[in-house]
Amino acid sequence: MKANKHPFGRLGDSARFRLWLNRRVPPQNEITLKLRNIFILPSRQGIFFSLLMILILIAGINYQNSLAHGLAFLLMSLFMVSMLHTYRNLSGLVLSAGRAGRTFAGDEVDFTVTLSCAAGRDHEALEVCWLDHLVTQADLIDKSVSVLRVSTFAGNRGWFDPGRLTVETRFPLGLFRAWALLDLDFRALVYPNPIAEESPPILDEGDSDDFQPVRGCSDDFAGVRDYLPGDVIRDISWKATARLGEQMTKEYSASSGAEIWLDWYQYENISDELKLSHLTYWVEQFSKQRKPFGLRLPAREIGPGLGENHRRQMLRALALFGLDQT
Amino acid sequence: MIALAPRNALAWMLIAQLVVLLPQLLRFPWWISAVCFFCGLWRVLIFQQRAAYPGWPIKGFLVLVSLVCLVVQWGSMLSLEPWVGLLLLMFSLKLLEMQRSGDVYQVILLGYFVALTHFLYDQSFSGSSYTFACVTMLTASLVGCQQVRADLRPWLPLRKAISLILQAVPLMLVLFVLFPRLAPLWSIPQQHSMTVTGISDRMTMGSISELTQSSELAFRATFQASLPNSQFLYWRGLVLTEFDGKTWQRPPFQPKNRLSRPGRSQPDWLSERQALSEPIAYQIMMEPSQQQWLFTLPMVMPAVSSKIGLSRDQHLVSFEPIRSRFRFDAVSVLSFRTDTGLADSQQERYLTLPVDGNPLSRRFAARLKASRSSNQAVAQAVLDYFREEQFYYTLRPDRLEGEVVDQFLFGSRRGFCGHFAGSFAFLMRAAGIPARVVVGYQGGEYNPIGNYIEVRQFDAHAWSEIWLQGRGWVRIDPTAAVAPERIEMGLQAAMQEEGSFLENIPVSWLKMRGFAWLTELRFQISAWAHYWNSFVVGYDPVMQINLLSRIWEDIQPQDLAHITIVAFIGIIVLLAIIMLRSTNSRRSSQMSILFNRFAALFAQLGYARAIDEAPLDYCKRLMSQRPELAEAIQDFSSSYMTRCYGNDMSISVDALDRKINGLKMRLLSPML
Repeated sequence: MKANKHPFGRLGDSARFRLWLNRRVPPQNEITLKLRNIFILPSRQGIFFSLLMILILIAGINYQNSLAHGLAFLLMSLFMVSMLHTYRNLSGLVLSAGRAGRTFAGDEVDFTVTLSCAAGRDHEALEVCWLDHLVTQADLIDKSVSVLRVSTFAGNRGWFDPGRLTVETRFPLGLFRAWALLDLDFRALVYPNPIAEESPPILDEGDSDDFQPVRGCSDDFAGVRDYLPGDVIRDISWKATARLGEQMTKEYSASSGAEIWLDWYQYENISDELKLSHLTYWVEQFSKQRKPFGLRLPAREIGPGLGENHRRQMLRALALFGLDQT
Repeated sequence: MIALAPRNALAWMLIAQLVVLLPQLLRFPWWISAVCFFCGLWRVLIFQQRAAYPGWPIKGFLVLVSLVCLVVQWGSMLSLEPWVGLLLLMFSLKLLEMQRSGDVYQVILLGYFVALTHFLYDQSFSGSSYTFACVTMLTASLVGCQQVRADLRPWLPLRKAISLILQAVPLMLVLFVLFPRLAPLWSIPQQHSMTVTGISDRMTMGSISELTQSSELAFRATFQASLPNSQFLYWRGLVLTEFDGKTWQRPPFQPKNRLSRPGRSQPDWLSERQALSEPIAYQIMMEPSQQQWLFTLPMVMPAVSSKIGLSRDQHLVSFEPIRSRFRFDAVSVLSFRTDTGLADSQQERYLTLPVDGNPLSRRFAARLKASRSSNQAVAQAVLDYFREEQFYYTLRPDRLEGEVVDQFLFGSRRGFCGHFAGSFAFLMRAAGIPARVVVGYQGGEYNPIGNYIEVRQFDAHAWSEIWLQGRGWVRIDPTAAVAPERIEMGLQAAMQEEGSFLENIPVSWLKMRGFAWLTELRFQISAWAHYWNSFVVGYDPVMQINLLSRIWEDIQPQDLAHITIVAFIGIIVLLAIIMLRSTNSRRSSQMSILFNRFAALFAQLGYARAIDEAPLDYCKRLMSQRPELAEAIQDFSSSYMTRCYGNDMSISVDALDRKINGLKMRLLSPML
């Protein structure tokens, strides 16, 4: 694994370059790699290889050696043929955006990328990554679809756009580097970074004192739904999974009883972001403890409940608080 | 580049390195092999995780010792060998610090350079094939560096390398034929210790010639028209005129005997030559001899090539030693007169003998001179003497000391061509007849497959020429008087009884003439080697223009660059079209790939989709034809349609893929 540098070097930072790239390779949900969006240049090894070719040719000329000429020409031809092969290793590949994972600000976030190709075509030694992040290696050999998980570091809370995805290959000889910079219209929801504190911001209605960790017993089983990345293993319904052949997750509905409300207005003298971070922390804590609770935000109120969907609804509200929701 | 090199790539690289080094290690001093094997062994131990990388003191010590050894071995760095040695050492020592994939690349690139040095020593067909195999191995290790999941397909690098090289060959051939061949750009270190082979410019009477025991090739001669008869096949090399009582050697240089060079004013002696028959043209492909003389049939015409001159003694001389295989065209006239008006001062030179020595021979010559009427009769009398007395033509003569001519003529009487020619010339001079010794080759073996005459070192021969009033120089071969079969049938036939033909070589193709198929095979191999040498190794600017002018009339050398560029680009475009066409025609979205998989599944069962059939119609047809699967097909087609045309992204490619897999399970295992 290695960190990846921008394939266009410092040029990649310029605004005009981005504009040009947006015109040339516009954002799309599914992109087929072809002449228009594949870039190819000799790699550093390729440049050394061409120097070697020239040296061998000069040796052939100076020694008037016909076979040394032959060797130089063979290497030259190999160089050109390997360029076509490297290009061909990317061309025809179809990339499409899959689901994006959810994560907390500053953590890694996973995106699912589906690679597919025409039957009978092999694509080897592909490297898929976001700029400045770890490389995921893949190949499509004797199969036409491959699902990859490519991760990057999430930024601030809210909708996170990971930018352009790099697909790169140097196969077969490493003399050329072919790459494509794709905007697959990815979007990941990033929750606020949870920050711990001593006591929860619960509206003091007298019964806040009996706050105790209670193991899940008071929730009602409401049904099953499709598995989503991020669902906790404990919630997976193995029976339903075995029956339906797909991973299923149990859902719970909130039980009635003592109501706990996490309240925005309990905080004073701290920044909104810190409030959100603390609230996120408590949402995670109460969810782990399987305690029904509600959330009160300015202009938004989510009634008490329990279960993964409830948790997500709250985290989503916290993530998008004060942001443009589109 | 901080990535460690993959193990599979390392394994390929170590094999490639061994293969590339092997031929050079056999040519170079043993200690270079020792260093290479030491480094290789260490690297293999590191590979097996039984040793660590050496620290810099050890590496520095190894480099220092190697450099000292190089300088001690060759004295200086001015010739080619120490540089190649340095390359071999660097190539091996680099192994000890090869950790990262960048290092592996460096070693592989050095490997290509080592492969190049093979060609400086061996350009034969077999040697070149080996070198190109080395290049394939090196390329395979390049593929190995890129390969992921090498455990699944360990042989992929080699297969890929072979296919890449095969695809590169057409482009290489085009470049080889078209690329302009330039003159050397600057002077370069030449090979240091090449042994001089072939005819020497000194002939010491009584010493044993080792040439007669060598079956190495001297040259091949291809005639344009029919071959001359074998008794005309006297390949003149050089003329020995000076005799010191023991050794015949070349005359010291005299300005008035200067060479006739093309493009310069013709010397006077050239116009005195008379041709009495039609000229015959032939081409000689000479093996490297490190000497300057060329071998042609008498009387040779001045050469056209600017690298060759014609000497006063009527033989061709190259201006440079023949360091690599050398091809030249020659024209000869087999019936001729030269130097009919030899000046007295010139005659003097051909009569000079040491003041004293060999008294018996001098007396014998004087007696013959007195009793015969003409010079020609004197020469004939000596030949008769050789024929009638007990003289033997042998490859195992007695070693002679002191008065060598006397000892040979009146003592041992056993000798080979050098003894006969040398003593004949001595007798002639003693009798007042201008005479000289000519060395070269005689005969050769005709190869019917390649249609050329192959002359080997054991065909080396010496004969005499005497000057007769009105006729000029006349060839007299005293060996022919003693052993006519040597001239008519060659050395092997002449040595049939004695059994001394190539007696130092226990097994030789050439000795197995009894087996017809073996001879046939030998001719085949020799002819192939000749074609290789002529058309590949010997491909030069002249040949290039000759070849290309068959396609483009009046092509000029300066057009070549343009033609090369156009052809180069043309071939690449062609290759690109061939390679990428499959992509273009099948370039399709993920969805159509999925649908194609679905269709392919049913096509296996005989329900192929018609070209003009819309996906929905096809699904409907399938549902009616396989009602038991109707539900699953309906499920797939509705999801597919929703995703494709309703653009509903909630239906994932994965889910569709799984649906196809489910169908596949049901279709291909009907028991379930």
